[in-house]
Amino acid sequence: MSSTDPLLAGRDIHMTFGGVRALKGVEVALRPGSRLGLIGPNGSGKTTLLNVLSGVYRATAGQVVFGGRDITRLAPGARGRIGIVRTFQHPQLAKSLTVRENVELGARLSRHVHGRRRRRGDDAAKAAEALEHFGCGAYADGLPEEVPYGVRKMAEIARVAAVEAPVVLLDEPAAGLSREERDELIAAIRTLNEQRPDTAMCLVEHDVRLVASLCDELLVLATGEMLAHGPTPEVLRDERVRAAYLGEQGHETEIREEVG
Amino acid sequence: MSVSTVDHQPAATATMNGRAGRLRASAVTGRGPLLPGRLAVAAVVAAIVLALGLGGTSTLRYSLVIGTIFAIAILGNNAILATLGEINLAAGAFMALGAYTAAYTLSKGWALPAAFAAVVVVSIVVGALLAIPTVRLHGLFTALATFALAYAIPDLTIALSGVTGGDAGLAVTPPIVGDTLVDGSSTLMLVAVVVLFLVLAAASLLLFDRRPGASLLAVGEAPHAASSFGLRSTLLKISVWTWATLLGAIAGACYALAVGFLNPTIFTVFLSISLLAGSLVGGSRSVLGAWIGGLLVGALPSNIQSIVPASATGAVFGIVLLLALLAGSGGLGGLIERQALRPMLARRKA
Repeated sequence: MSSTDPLLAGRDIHMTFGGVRALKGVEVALRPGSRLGLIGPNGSGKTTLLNVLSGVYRATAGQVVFGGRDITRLAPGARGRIGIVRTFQHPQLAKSLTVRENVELGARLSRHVHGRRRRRGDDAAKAAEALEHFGCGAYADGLPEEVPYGVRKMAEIARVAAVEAPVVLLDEPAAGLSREERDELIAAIRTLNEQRPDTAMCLVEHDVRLVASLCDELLVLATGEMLAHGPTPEVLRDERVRAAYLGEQGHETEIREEVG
Repeated sequence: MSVSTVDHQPAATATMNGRAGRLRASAVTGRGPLLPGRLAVAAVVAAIVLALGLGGTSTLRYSLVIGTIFAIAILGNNAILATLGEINLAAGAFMALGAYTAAYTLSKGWALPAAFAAVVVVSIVVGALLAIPTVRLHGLFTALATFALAYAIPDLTIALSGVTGGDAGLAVTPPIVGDTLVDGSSTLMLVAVVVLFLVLAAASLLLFDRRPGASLLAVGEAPHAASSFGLRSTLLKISVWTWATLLGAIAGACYALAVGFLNPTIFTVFLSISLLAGSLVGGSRSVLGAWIGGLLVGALPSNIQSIVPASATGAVFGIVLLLALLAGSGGLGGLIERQALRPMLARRKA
């Protein structure tokens, strides 16, 4: 596989729930080092696509390929073990495990993904490093229900970071975060991307400023169909995108600021 | 390497990390640094139970034996309830499995260790087979499926009369150690079940505290994340159900030896419900709570007959259970633990 071949790809993905067609022939490709932003109005199918890529949903039609291998029928756990990890829109932390223990789940998965022989103490060290990186170190011994919402969101991303996985899928990581916390999140993800330039990242997000800061490529969905796909500045200038998703006055102002 | 610039809530942070924070989290979760303390408390309670039983009447000794045996079954129930949050109404069925396996093998002349080995093997195999369909269910449906199993046990016992003796029942050959016949009121039986409880309680605490417990809690409380992070959820669930079956069957085998005679009226759905009540009242994350729950449902009903009229024992027992529920979701075990920790946490805070 050359460096330009997709690491993870969704080909002609269709997803139907009862009579509702949530995805209609969507194509997505993540190459090593890709920073893909997935945007679109509510109900456009962004999270559904993420769920199909991570194995939570099995596509009604189409194919998901990882490293040239068809993984369409692979369960989420098996996808995790080959290195496709994700966060959730609402933080999925076990409430009876400390924040540290939740993040250690990621460090443990790291051993499967990389086939490394590491001592268990190394899991703790890796988890601690990820917690510090995302500003959660001071809350490591707390239980998720005791810590602020922003810390829970950051801890989820720290858990993903601890895996050092080749593919990272982030589902609205900034939802519910304050402006300061969003800035912190952007800085932390940027640093991670610099440290691991080959990691492919797909980010679902409503915050255009955040997407524009972190992603060099955008895929826009509208009612389950691909509306636009390309480099971030071009897509953000696309009139169809503005009309379908970003047409409101407030958003336009924001985009002009971002695109310059 | 931190890029953190935001201090989320410094006031809260002061008590979240460090020993006080870990102790508080440990009191809530039943895991963590309080493990040695929990083991020590279990040992102290064991000493109290032994002192009461060895110094008391044979009736009291018998009650403590039955209560401790029920506590072993409750440990199994707790393993499921504390991690997966599922309600198991088949603990009585698991006991029946162990009781009849032990009784049957002993009736065929097997030595006691061999009979117990058979109980272990049979319960692991049957437990795993039952778990495979059960773990596909959740919530009320798990409760319904286990209820159905418990409900069927008396009829199954009659149907399998070749092994169980059917309606006529099955006498259990009591083991003889030295010159002593080991039955439910013998001191040796009390020592044996107390030691067995301690060993199984310690194993339960260690498993819950270490990686298996962490993995199961992730599966039970954050199932999507557990799955996405590579945990083998189905295998873990089958394991914990099998563990619960094993503990229930060991309790059942001890019960068979203690009562000396088995019949289809013993392992009814009421027994399973009583064991679940014991789990909830004692607290599903506390071995002390398991013992309290076991003694409440195993020893209290027969002993209050000496205090209140026989016609009122059911009402008194019900009131005791209701009062015990005032302890909250952590049960009586959790309440006692929190009260014991209060001065320590207050001192550290100050």
